[in-house]
Amino acid sequence: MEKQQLKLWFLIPLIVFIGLIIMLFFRLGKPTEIQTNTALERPVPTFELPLLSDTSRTIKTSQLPKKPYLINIWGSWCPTCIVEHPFLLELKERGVDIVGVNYKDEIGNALNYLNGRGDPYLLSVQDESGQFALDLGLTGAPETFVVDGEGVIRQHIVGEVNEANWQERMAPCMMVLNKANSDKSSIEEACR
Amino acid sequence: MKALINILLLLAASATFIPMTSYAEIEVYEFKSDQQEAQYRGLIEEFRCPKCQNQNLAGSDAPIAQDLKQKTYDMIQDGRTDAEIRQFMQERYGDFISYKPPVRPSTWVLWFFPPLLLILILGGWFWRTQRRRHRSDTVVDTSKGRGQLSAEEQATLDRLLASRTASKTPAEQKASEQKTPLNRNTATDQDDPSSQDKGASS
Repeated sequence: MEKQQLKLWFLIPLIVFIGLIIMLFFRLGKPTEIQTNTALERPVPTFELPLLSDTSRTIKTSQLPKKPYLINIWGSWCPTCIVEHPFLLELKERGVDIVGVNYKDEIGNALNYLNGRGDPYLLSVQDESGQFALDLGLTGAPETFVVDGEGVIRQHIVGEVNEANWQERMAPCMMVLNKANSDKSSIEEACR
Repeated sequence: MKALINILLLLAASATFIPMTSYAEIEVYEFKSDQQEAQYRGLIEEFRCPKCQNQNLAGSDAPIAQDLKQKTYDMIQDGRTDAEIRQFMQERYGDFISYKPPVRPSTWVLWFFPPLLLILILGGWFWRTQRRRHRSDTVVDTSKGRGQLSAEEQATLDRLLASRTASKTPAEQKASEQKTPLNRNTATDQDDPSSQDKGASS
């Protein structure tokens, strides 16, 4: 009786070990980065930011597009932004409205960047302090948000936007948002 | 056991006293009071950098971490409380922002499982040692001497021991004979509750 109990006690480490293996096995290949998406399903935070091309003028939340569009956070100092830039130009060609938020950048560098590489943005504002980005729950640049016609953020893309994740995630979402009367569940389904 | 406890104490002490955090660039914030500075230090130790995932704000130089430190500083200058600043961060970055997540039903497991497990283990350990002590006490009582066995019992015991010795391989037998004479062997057996049980059941 005692001996059997003792054997059981010695088995505990093995059982714990096997449990760990099973647990870790199911985490294999899954992303370890935690993504916070607190901006989702909320209106675009209110802001009043200087226009990039003429900083004496300010743009307010009410002046944002009234149909679905993208908000793209970028900086001339950000290497991934340079990578995704040609694709943003391509999206402009396809008729997608993009609002550019120049994030923590020197105004001269930012203007040079757009003049040299082309300007994919319908509207460009300057967020020098990064305050607006904080309100969006930004973790870095580039990040892109899909906003619906009512100004509610529907999708949050961290990192590069390219043909692959445009086709897979963003285009279906934009399509549903562009439809006249999409119900809430189909929006959620398409914009995950 | 004493050695084990000492090691545990040592581990606990080192975890408490050796600071594990690394510090980023030297900050140049000026504070109106020591109390505000302590508040700032406490908060940037507690908040996690959303970009670098496993660093706190104090240890990170990522642009977003600098912004969040600046924001924390500004809010402290405005005289906001810890709770207000925490709420500001949590609204934007969720529970993830803090290394000290709020206590609510979804985080109960996180907060209460480890102490519960500790209590269970200590309780189980205590219970086992108590029981064992109790058992060995009773064993000592009944095995004061061979003289208490009746002649019949003594005969059974001798027969059992003889058969046990005989069933060993010659090499084993030789080894055990060299080490301990038969009588000593039975004495040690009697001190051990497990073999006492076995003897009784067979």
